[in-house]
Amino acid sequence: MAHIHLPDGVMPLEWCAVWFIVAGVLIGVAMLAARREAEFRQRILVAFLTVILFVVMMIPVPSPFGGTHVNLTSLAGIVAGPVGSAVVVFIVSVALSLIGHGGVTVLGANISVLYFESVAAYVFYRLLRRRFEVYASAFTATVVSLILSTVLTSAVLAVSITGSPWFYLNEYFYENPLVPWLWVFASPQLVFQVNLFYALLKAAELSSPLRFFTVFLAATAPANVSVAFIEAFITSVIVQSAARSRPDIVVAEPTMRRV
Amino acid sequence: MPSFVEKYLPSTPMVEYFSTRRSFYHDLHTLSKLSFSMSMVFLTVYLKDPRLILFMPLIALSLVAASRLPVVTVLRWSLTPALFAAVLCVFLPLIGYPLTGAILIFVKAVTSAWFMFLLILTTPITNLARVISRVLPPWLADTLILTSRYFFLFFDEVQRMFRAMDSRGSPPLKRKLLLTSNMMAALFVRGYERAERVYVAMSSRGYKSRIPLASSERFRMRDTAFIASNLAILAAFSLLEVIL
Amino acid sequence: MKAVEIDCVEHVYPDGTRALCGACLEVEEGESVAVLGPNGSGKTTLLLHLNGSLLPREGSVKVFGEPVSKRNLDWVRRTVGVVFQDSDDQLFMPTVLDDVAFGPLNFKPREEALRDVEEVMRELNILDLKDKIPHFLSGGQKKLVAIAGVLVMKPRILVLDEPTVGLDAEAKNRIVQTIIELKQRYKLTLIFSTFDVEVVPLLADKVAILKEGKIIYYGDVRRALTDTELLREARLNPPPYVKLAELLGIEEKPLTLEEASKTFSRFISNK
Repeated sequence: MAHIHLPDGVMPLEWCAVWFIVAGVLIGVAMLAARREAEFRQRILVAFLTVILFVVMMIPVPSPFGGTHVNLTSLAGIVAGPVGSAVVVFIVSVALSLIGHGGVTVLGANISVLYFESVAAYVFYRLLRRRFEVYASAFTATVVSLILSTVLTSAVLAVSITGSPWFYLNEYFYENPLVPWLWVFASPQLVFQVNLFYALLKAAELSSPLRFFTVFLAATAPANVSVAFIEAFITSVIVQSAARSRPDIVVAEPTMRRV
Repeated sequence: MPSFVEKYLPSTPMVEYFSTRRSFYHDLHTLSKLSFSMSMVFLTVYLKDPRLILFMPLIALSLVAASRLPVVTVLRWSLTPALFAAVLCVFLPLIGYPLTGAILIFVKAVTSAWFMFLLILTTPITNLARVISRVLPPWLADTLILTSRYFFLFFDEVQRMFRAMDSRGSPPLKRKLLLTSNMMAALFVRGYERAERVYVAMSSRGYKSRIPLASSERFRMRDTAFIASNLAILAAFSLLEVIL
Repeated sequence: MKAVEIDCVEHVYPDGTRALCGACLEVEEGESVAVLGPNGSGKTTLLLHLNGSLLPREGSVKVFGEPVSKRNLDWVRRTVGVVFQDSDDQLFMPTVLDDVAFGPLNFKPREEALRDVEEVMRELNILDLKDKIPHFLSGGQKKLVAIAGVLVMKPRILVLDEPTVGLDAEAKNRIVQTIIELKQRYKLTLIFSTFDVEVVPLLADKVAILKEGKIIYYGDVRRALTDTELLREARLNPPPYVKLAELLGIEEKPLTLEEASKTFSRFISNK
């Protein structure tokens, strides 16, 4: 999915292992909960949600920057709940890494952050629905969860990459300003990637994870937040249309919660 | 979908075509191919010595050629993951990072993608789904199997919807965004309706706890030999990395 | 013994639409019934009651004397095989072999199940499709595989929801021929819904006509297909031979091609 577009080769292997364990625990707990709760019909519904999201993620969404791609983890969270979205996030991440879209070694980190997005969207949606209607709740929940996950991504990378003796870039770095004209011509992917690596480089010289975190966050926030609004729009359109025609399929809907 | 997608991303009919051809590599058991590609990606990431790293793309490409896959097409498809890593190659030297270091990271990223292409272009997705689903809990396994079956169907449907949209002219940006979102919403509801019908079909034939799989692959002598060579490569390169 | 007894069944969908109001139907073992009716009349809903996929709000459904309930669903599903309208809903497995084997693998040990599968596939002449992916099969092939997947469970009652929809002429002929052969060989009770009135006299002994959830006719095929009033109410066209016979003022209305050639040649020679 879109967020951690790290290719293989940037995160040191010992941290890859750590995040694999974290992801394993999260998904494992969700699957244990699934054994108690879910009826088989719900399983098939979630399976198809996975297929749909997989396909929808490949559709270029018109935006001021050109075609962006959304990852719709928030949609998965709201519609399938914390248990169902574990399935969605896991399958889509694994499938994407198999086709070369996103690294295999960083799968653990990818899954952890994306699952966090889904759960956060679910939690915020339910809280907001107590007072607001569907569209507003979905929109806000998505924006908030994506902002939070941007913060989380920075934290994950700060912890995994700074000061690691194996990280190549640590040895070779000195300061240079970012060429300003890149911002004008770049699509958000490019901007994001430039942001990402510039931040990595600046931070690689910083031995403190905290400073890495701040620099990386500041550098990646603009692109991420703007895409967040587009995603929120799409998510709320879909959730609203689902809630109108088939409220029973939206797990987070308080009145007709399916287990 | 724009033709950019068709040219630079693996398209499903082409993947289907190549993965069902025959070659010595195609005929290996899925597990052998899967573990090979995965372990080679991890090895590539692990290596630090440039001389060793440069062996990896050689291995990847020679296997791609040996399995009678079109090398040129694979190269074209790897432009997308290469793009993400290529930013480094362009950008790093601008800020003083030595070109060699940047190129090595680029090489690692692209090589990993090649190992993955080697996997999916020689193995039908259904085989991959079957092998991976064996080690997953029931829900994940069933989802993987259903995804491998229905992905193409919905992909075709999206292309149809796009064609319908495009044939009605090109509206301004905001409206296009709304149209795309509505299209996604329609796809979503349609997906759910199909899910319900498929569930009725499944339970009508006795679906209880886990999708049973009938097809199986044979594990042969050449698979043992292949996995042994795989382990040998891993051992050799790790050893060399430590020594050099 | 009555194979199927549908006794005044009422069904209401969660969104409130009343799909069936007091539908009553009895089918003897070995009989073949065609269910006709306009769109939305409840045909699919009715058929889904036959294997317990839907349970009636009121009334009962009995299969060989046993009322269908949550407790005997396994037995019901092995006794009543349902072939769904859209083959893509039914062929949900990655390969043809996996799909046909899905049913037996849920109930039998693997060896036995795979033997049954091979037998059925050989009989329907689809062994060569074994490793193919359903997505890339033609409509007719998909329908055959769907039938195989149901037949392999050795049901006594075969239910088909619009078996010929979307098929080209050759595929349709093949499917109809296959169904006729299977019915004879396995002495199946056949219940199917269709829009295709030409197929009805080839496959059915009796016709049930549904309108707005009620069965407005249940009886002989010949009477149903020649009663133009009835057919108009059901929003169906009479078979072309019937229309032609009516235009020509012939008393005897032929239903099949054979009957038509005899009737019309007699008509011409009489002129």
